Formats: sequence, C-alpha cells, structure tokens
Amino acid sequence: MRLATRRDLLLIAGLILCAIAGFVIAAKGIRQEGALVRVLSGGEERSFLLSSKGSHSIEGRGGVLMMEIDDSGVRVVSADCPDHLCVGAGPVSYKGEVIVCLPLGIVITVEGEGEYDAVAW
Amino acid sequence: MPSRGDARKLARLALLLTVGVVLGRLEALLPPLPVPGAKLGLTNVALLAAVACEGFGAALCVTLARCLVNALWGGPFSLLYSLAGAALAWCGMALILRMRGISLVGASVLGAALHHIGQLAMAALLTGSGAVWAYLPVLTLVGVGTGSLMGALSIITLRTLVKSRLITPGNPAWIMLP
Repeated sequence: MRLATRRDLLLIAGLILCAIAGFVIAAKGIRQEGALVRVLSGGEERSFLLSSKGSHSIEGRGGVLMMEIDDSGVRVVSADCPDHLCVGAGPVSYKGEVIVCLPLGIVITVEGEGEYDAVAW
Repeated sequence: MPSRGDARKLARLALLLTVGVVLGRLEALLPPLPVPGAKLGLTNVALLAAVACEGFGAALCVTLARCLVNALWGGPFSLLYSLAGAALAWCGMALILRMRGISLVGASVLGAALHHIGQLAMAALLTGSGAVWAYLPVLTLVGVGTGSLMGALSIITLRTLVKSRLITPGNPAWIMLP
C-alpha cells in the first residue's frame, strides 16, 4: 500500500537535515560549563551565580516555582503548573541550556562568564 | 436560495468539527511526550479530511472553530498556542498541496513542523525570551514522526471513506488514488 510519494520523502529528509543542522549550530558553543543563571518571569529578570548554592522562589503567572542551585547545576524542584515538564527537565549547568515553564511564563537560562553586568545575590 | 448541496456541506463540516474536537480531547488524555510542546497531532486528521472533502477555506474555518472549542478545556493560553500553530500549519499545507507529487503525508509533516514553529513563536512572544527556540530541532524531528503517522492515518481513513462511497475526494492525488 503506497503511503507516501517520492516528494513526500524528500521533504521528510530535508526536514530531518534541517533539524540536525539546527542541533549542530546550537551545539557549536559545545559543552562549556555555565557561570550565570538568568531567570526571566513576566518581563522581570533576576540573576544568580551558578556557583552559589540555594533555593529560590520564582513568581510566575498565577503560581510559584521553586528553583534550586547546587553542585549538579540549576533545576526546578516544584512548580504550580499542570504538566511539570519544567521539574522533569533539570538539572542543567552548561552554557545555553534552558528550562522553561510555559504555564507560569518562566524561562531559566544558563550563561557563560563575562556575559553579565549585574548579579543579584 | 440555499440548495441541498449547501446543507450537505454544512452538515459535513459540522461533523468534521465534532470529530476534530473529540480527537483533541482524546489527545489531551494521552500521556505527554517528554519534549515540551510535542503532540501527536490527532486533530490534523480531521483537518486533512476537511481539506480533502471541502477545500482549504472551509478547512481553515473548521480548524479555527475546533481550536476555540478545545480551548474550553485547555484555557486561554493553550488557545493562543493552538491558533498560532494551526494558522501557520494551514498556510503551509494549503501551499504545498497545490504542488504536484505531494500527498497528505508530506502536507502533514510540513504541517507538524510549522505547527511547532508557530507555537514556539507564540511562546517566545509570551515569555519575552528567545531561549525557547532551543527546542526547535527536537520538535522538528518529533514532528516528522508524528506528521508521517497522522498523514498515513488520514490517507487510510479517506481511502476507506472513498471506497465506501461516503465521500468523493477533491483531489485524488492527495490520497494517492489512481
């Protein structure tokens, strides 16, 4: 039973190539240890050093997210969201890694050294 | 004076809308995929059926209405993501199906990829952060898989309907009928 045309398969191959290219481009920064944790929530931004340890409560849209920084990196311990994909994602510690909680509108990014100008202790 | 054909068309579109809503609810019951924002895309089957039976314009109305109804359960934010994804996906599918040698599988795969892009764009807009685009490569790969599956499912479904003489497809090339 024919379920795809040749052009379909070409399209699929093309998309897979694009995805792999995307991976490669994103990974160009490779696995560099990050230094700064930047938390964006509702237009407000807070920064934490990855070397600092501690739990932080981040307020989002309609709920609160508990973020913890320890030796394994930064991760989400708990969150007031329906799917908890953010909790299952961590811990992250490399430059460019991201944890997102869409329902709360919170984005946590890890950045490298020398890329920040103000840090909240 | 509205003709009998119009009533039939309306009934058919209403049916497709209902099927789409039910598929959306079914999908919501399934366990989420490990990738944020990844979905099976079951509702795409209803959309492609609408395209095959009644054309692109009618299908757009059906899918927009379907997003609205599914949002009754999902909430306002899920509506924003759905609409962004569905609108972009519809544009791509409408364009690619005009080409020769493309079936519903190709359209479905493109639709899945565009749906993810639309959703990521909305997420980037709502969070004010470009970091969400990091998920695009993974989502594209997932989209290839789910799009192929849903496209194949659409083709099988429509072929069965055609064989049972329940519908006549607008363009038989889409489901690869001779």
